[in-house]
Parts: sequence; C-alpha cells; structure tokens
Amino acid sequence: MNPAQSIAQQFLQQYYQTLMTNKMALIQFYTDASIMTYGGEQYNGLKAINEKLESLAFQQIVYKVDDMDVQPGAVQNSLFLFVTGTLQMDGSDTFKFSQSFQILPNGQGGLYVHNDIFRLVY
Amino acid sequence: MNPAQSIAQQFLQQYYQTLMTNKMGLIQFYTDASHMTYGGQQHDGLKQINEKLESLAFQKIVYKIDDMDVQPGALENSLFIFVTGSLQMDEAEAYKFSQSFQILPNGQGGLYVHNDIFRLVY
Repeated sequence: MNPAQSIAQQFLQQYYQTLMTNKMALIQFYTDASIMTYGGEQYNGLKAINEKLESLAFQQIVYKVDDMDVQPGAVQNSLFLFVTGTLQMDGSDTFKFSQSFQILPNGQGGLYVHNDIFRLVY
Repeated sequence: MNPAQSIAQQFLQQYYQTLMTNKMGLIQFYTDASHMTYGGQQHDGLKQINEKLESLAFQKIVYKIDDMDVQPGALENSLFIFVTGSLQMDEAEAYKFSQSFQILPNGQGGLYVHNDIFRLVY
C-alpha cells in the first residue's frame, strides 16, 4: 500500500466509523466549501449537509467497504477516492453502494471532504 | 439542467461515443497529468493510458448511462462527475458499472480528464 492509499484508507475508516456510531458528527469532515450528493440530491455547505444528516432516518447502519481506488486529486496533497461496498440499515436487506470523494487540505494540517457523491447500486 | 450538468452531459456523450466507435481516439481526453484506474489497476500519463486503451480486447462495446451526478471540482471551472450505467462487450451479457471523473480546464479552452476511476459492479 503506497502513502496515498494509506491516508485514504485511514480517512475512510474514520468516515464510515463516524457514520456508523454518530452520524451527526460526520459534519466534522465537511466545510462550507463542501458539496454532497446523495441519491441524486445535492447539498452545498455546512447548513444543507447538516440538515441532510439530520434527515437520515436509520437507527443503525453497517458499512462494509469492498474496494477502494485512490488517485492524486486536482490540487497538491488532495486525493480522489472511489469506494464500492455494501450497507445495511436497521436489519433490512443489504444494498450495494458506490461513493466517490475528493479530499483536500483544510489549511490546518488535516483533510476535508470537498466532493462526496453517493449512490446505491441496484 | 443547470450549466454544469449541461457541460458534463456533453462531455460524457463525447467520451462514451468515442469509446464505442474508436477506442484509441479516447486518448484525446487525457494529458500527461491524467490518472486512469480501471478495475483496480492505475495508469498515469499518456503513454500508460494509451497502452491500456490498446490492451482493451473488445471488438464492439455499447454503453448505456443510467444516472449522472455533477458537482463543482476542486479548481475553478472543473467538474466532479459520477456516472452509473451498464455496458455490453461483443455478445457478452450486460454489466453494471460506476465511473467517477474529475475534468479540468486544459488551458486551451477545453476540458481534459484529470481523474478517471472505473469499476464494474457485480
């Protein structure tokens, strides 16, 4: 695993772990420059993303990442990620998903999610 | 459809049309700064991407796009695009795929593919 893959894997572990244990805290990965698209609906900036997180209606969710692809992003120290996996909400069936991210330096030594597109795959 | 979606749709039409009619012509969408990942294998720059295109062994391929999500990319006038659809090679069955792109200005009034990640979804 090269350094970019290592950083990406660490980021994804934190991201999905947060989503599974405390979904509202996922907001820490975003800034007002962030854009999230979930099932075709787009949310720009912290307020819209926070409202979307509040609206997610599951009690329990389990994510399993099957594959991860990592490339250098458009700016220095950014990463372009592509994830495929499965998720299960509240004991329902398991669904396949694909999710693509671009993570950028946040100016404070960390990374934030600039782009986030999620789709279930039927 | 907003302007970003319109540009993205036009780009995708050109991209997939080229792939369906003249796969080696796809190289026009890439530069030496480009990264392409296909089924988990990464190819950086024109030489590697050209070799990958040469290695694609189908005689005929048909792409059908089901959904497209578009966001502003990390740089001005860049786009972050997520596509789901299906493809069929020669007389094989249809397969679902997901593909994520980031397209950037090429300095000559057009756009090039900086990031391209493709995966079949089983």
